[in-house]
Amino acid sequence: MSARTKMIRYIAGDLKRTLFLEGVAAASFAQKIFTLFFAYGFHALIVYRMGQAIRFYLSRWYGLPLYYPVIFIYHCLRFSVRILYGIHIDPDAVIGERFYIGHFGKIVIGPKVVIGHDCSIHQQVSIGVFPKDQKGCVVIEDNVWIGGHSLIKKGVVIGKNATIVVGANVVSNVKPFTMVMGNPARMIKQDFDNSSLMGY
Amino acid sequence: MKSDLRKDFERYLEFNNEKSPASVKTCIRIVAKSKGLWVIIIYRFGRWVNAGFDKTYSKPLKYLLKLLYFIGRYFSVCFVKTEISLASEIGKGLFISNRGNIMLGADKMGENCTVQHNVTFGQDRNRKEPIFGDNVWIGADSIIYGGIKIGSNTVITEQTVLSKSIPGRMLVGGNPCRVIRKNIYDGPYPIIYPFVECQRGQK
Repeated sequence: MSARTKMIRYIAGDLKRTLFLEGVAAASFAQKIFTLFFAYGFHALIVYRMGQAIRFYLSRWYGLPLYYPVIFIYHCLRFSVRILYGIHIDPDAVIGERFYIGHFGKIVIGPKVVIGHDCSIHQQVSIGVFPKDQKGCVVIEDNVWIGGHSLIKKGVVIGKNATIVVGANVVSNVKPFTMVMGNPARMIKQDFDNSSLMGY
Repeated sequence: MKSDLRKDFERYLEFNNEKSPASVKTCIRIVAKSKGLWVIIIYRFGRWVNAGFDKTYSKPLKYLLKLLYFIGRYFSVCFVKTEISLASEIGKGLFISNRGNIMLGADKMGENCTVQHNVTFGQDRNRKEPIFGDNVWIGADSIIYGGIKIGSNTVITEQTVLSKSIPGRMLVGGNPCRVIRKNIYDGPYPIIYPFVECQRGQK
């Protein structure tokens, strides 16, 4: 599958998920376009997916001169999204399908971060940025709900279907199907079904 | 709309240590300096447009003004990084920090409230929003969510995570939230330096 069709497939998945979670999946076309105009996280994700496709073409020698204007436009868009919305997504990160960014704000996704499918993120979350001296990857598995204002340290593995409540400071690994809260993060519930938060 | 904006502007004058009524020069200087006031002006304008213009001859005007409001909302997100949702009812005398990163998604809010930077009011699983009383002081980096009621004259410290209801006249804080002091202060409002006044009231 070429990089262009892959990018289109990822963007379509993100679009479906944002429309569903904003509550306009069954509304008219005009209302969908209206909510998309204010879906700031979706704009940032389009730029990120564009960057992934461009990286693929940069590694091939034959596509390079044709893509100079596209690369320039991509860097302009990434710069403007960073300044206007405050969303920093590093192009080294790996993000799965159907990702949802809730709001604008200080969202920072550092390099060396792997995120699975069907996750969702909210405002003022930083993943894989602190502490600066250490080295380590952050691995987030499928179906994770991360509440706002939380901090995820480097080298942490978060299991499937976990929920991270608003304002948590995650320092150690999180087991799957649990709910985690506080500073530092402690487990408060086991076998918590977070499908209502995901919207399914 | 005009009386609400007048009280908001007076709070910004107090913050800059100016007396009201102020000269035209100071008015222009303060309006240019405080970004939170721009967001409040845009919000009040949107509420005013939504409340009126229902007759048939003024409906195209309503769409035009709504378009202006949405441009203003996009501007406030991009340059001031705050957002006030239109469904919330906020009373007079609101003060918003100029640094930004604020998301006000409250259901109702009383008069003379102060909100510092990096604050979010959000929804919980059932899509309900909090209700505030008068004279609430909310510290920076805090989150308040759920369908809860917060009484009047409370002080919420920095970096708190609140999800339960609180009666009036309390000092609360922490993650998770705990009560620090009750019956804190009974004097002239609004609270400007909360911790000094809370200790004074205790004596």
